[in-house]
Amino acid sequence: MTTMTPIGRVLVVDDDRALRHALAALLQDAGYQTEQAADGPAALATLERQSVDCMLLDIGLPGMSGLDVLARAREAASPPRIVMMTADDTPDVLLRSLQGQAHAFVRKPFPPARIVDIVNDVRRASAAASLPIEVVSASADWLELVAPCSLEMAERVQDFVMQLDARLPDDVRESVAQAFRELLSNAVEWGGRLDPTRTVRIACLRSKRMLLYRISDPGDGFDINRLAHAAISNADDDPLRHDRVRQDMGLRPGGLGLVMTRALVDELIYNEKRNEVVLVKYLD
Amino acid sequence: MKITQHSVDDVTVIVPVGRIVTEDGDVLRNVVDTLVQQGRVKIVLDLQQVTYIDSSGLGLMVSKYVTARRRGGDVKLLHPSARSIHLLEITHLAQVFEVFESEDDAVRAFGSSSFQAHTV
Repeated sequence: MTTMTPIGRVLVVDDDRALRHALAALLQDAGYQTEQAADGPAALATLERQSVDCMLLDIGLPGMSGLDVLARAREAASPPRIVMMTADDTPDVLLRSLQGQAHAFVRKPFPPARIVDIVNDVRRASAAASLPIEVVSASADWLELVAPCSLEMAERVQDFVMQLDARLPDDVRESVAQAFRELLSNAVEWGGRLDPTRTVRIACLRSKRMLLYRISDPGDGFDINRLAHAAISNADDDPLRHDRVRQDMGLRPGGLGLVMTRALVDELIYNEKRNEVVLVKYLD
Repeated sequence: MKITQHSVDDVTVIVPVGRIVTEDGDVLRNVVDTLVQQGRVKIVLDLQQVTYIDSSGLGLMVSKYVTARRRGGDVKLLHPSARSIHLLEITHLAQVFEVFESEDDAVRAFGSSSFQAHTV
């Protein structure tokens, strides 16, 4: 008989016994060692006893809530990356999870197999993905964050922000999500040079009639007239011109983000230096 | 991202599963580059199991299309989602890529037959 070395240790915390066991079984099949806890004190006792890489934490626990456990778990000597789970679809729990530095957030019900993908992503994420995100404003109508410049952070922020927009029509939500991701990736990659010691400032404002996102990066901005390597400069009948320019310049494939984003939102406004951008999507 | 591929004569059908994005682009890039180095430049990219494409992923598809065309081949798209088609349209790439809803039609557009399967 051979014993496989676990690829990581996961603590599953949920008072729903059937779900807890099902998630643990799925994770074990995927190669993880699992621990289980039915309430907050049991979860914290487990964390005191041993280190875990990831904790799946239900928010609606009896007695001590998952949000309280999140706050206490962050004080551990070696805090795990924490994925919050909840059936509560109000923005408040999402925002409080973000304030508590949860790594990810998943709404119930979810396809059980999805949890394996989430835990795999959490396990693979670099240290930069877990750097703290400063929550400047945690209102559902005005969320404002300061976050380190890494692509994994950008994905983590996008995931949280787009869950605030979960009630939007699919086509609007998908367009906004894609545009937001493109601009945030540009900000951390080109403005922040993927340096996690530098930060981007992100504001997400919601009114009845529009969504507005503002992203400020720490870079020097860019000159719109010197973007021959971007598809935004292509003539309509020459959609590959930017790729030829990029090859001549030795740049990696790409250059489509700006043209894509402009088409996905209603307004895209840059400041003079072009290191700060606002995108607007109207809802009526 | 996981990728499977199978061959129909000199046409290779690549089937990525997951996202074609900045972070995962190397997998697809390496598969296509290996094929091109082997002279297999007739490529069908089956997008049925692709859940998301970002601008870097789309840029990668453009780059590999250009590479294949320069060597006498082509990259044709199979089963793109409505979302993917929308992205092709807004980036003016719908006039570049040929799009198919059936593998037979995509392969036939190159003129091939017979089937071999293997996994990367």
